[in-house]
Amino acid sequence: MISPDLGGTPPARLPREAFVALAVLAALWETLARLSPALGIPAFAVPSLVRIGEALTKITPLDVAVTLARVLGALAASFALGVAGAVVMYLSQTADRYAKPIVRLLMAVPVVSWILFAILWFRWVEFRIGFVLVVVCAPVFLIDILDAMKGVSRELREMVRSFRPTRVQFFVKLMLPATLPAILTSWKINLSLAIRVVTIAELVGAVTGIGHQLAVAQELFSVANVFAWTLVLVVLLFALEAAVNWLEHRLLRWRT
Amino acid sequence: MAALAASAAAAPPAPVGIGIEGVHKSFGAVHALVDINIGVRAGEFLALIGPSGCGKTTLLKSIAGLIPIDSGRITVGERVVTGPGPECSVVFQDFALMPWATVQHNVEFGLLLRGVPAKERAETARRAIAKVGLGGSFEYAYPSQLSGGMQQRVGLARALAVNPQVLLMDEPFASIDEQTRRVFQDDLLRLWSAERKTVVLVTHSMEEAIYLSDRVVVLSPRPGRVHQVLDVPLPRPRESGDVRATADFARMVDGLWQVLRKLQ
Repeated sequence: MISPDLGGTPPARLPREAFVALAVLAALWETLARLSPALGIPAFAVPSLVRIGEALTKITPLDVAVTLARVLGALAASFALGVAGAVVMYLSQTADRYAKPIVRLLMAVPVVSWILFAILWFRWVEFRIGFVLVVVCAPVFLIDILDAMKGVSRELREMVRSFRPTRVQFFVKLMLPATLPAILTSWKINLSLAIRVVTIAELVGAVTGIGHQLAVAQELFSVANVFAWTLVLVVLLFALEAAVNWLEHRLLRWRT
Repeated sequence: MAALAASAAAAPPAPVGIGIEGVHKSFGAVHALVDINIGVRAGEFLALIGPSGCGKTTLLKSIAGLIPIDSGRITVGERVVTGPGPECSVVFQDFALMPWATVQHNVEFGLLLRGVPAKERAETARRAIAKVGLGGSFEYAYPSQLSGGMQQRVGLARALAVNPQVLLMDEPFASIDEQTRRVFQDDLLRLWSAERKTVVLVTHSMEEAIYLSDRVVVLSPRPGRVHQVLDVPLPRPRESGDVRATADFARMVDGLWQVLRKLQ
């Protein structure tokens, strides 16, 4: 229902400066790799770009898919829990007062502690990883969405109330679109968080996934493999962020 | 906008009166309204004026059912107000438009919540948009692409789309420049002449109160009480002539100023 002339600007693309900066970084790295024996650095510690490239060709897509599935599954569950918690806390000041200290406490616990708890409490590896991801990401979703809901202007809320909405209409027709920018920002934050957390969780417990492959590479002293898997993680994060950015561009064109 | 009345397809419902009896309202220790008694006749245009913080907006929102009163009684038609009702529509000071929705969708909003089918909703909204003089190329614009005056017209169209019997306006022209405000005031009078809704207008402007209304209720500083009720016997229609240039208009504005000055 939008006329063509009202479309927004396209999503930001990687600027030329970024390509130049990355090319310079790669050139510096390659120079360091070639000079490392002369500098007294072990050759395996600074692998050349060719060796990293060879390691990249050995990346197993299954491990990437498993890590991706863990991240997306856990984020979906975290989002559902975060939304449910935020709605309850928005509707009930009592729930807000009692739950908020607990949520803050959960957010203050270090990720490593959650991983240790998960290993001690649960036997099933997938559940351990899912538990750690959800307990880290759900509170972030909850707080972000709750803050956004509380930030919806009083006039907008009164306007909607003046038309006598049902409770479902109030949330679906007002709160959802009003908090959508905050929801998408929260997804971006949590994607980055989840990618980092899943790697650590997979390092210590899993037999598949990128974190597991990093652990294997470390045991084999294969810095090239560590680089290759790290690059995959970074690209995976960028791809997921690009997907959210695309969604943001589609859904929030009214802001442009 | 000149064809306001002509474009109205749906018959306007019969206006209803508003009864405000012994209304008290406090916010904690702050008394906002004390013993307010006002009767608004069906089809009347009534203005509420008074110093800042005297409770004008609180009273308007209490009539709308958005703010519960502590004691007393407010009736709209036969209904005792305990919450928002179908008879009233509110026009808000800062427009209260949904920035993510187009003009068309903003205007359709009340109808959407009432479960009106999409086709009927779109038609009714288009008529309301035309009524307020925004028809043509603005239906698919977002609020941020409109001027303040246009945004307030959208707010008015949204209020009119649900065909209310009572229009409650909370300083609707406060965020609009003077020229646009005068045009908008004339448009509002034409609309009111055509549809004869009961209108309660909160305003800070003495000229606006005198120009638009049949009666002006002056509220005293906090706690808000009814200080005085002034009749405005200026002839109607006022929008077609230059009422503002008449001696009677100037005398009435001055009379209102003398009342308000004593309240400062």
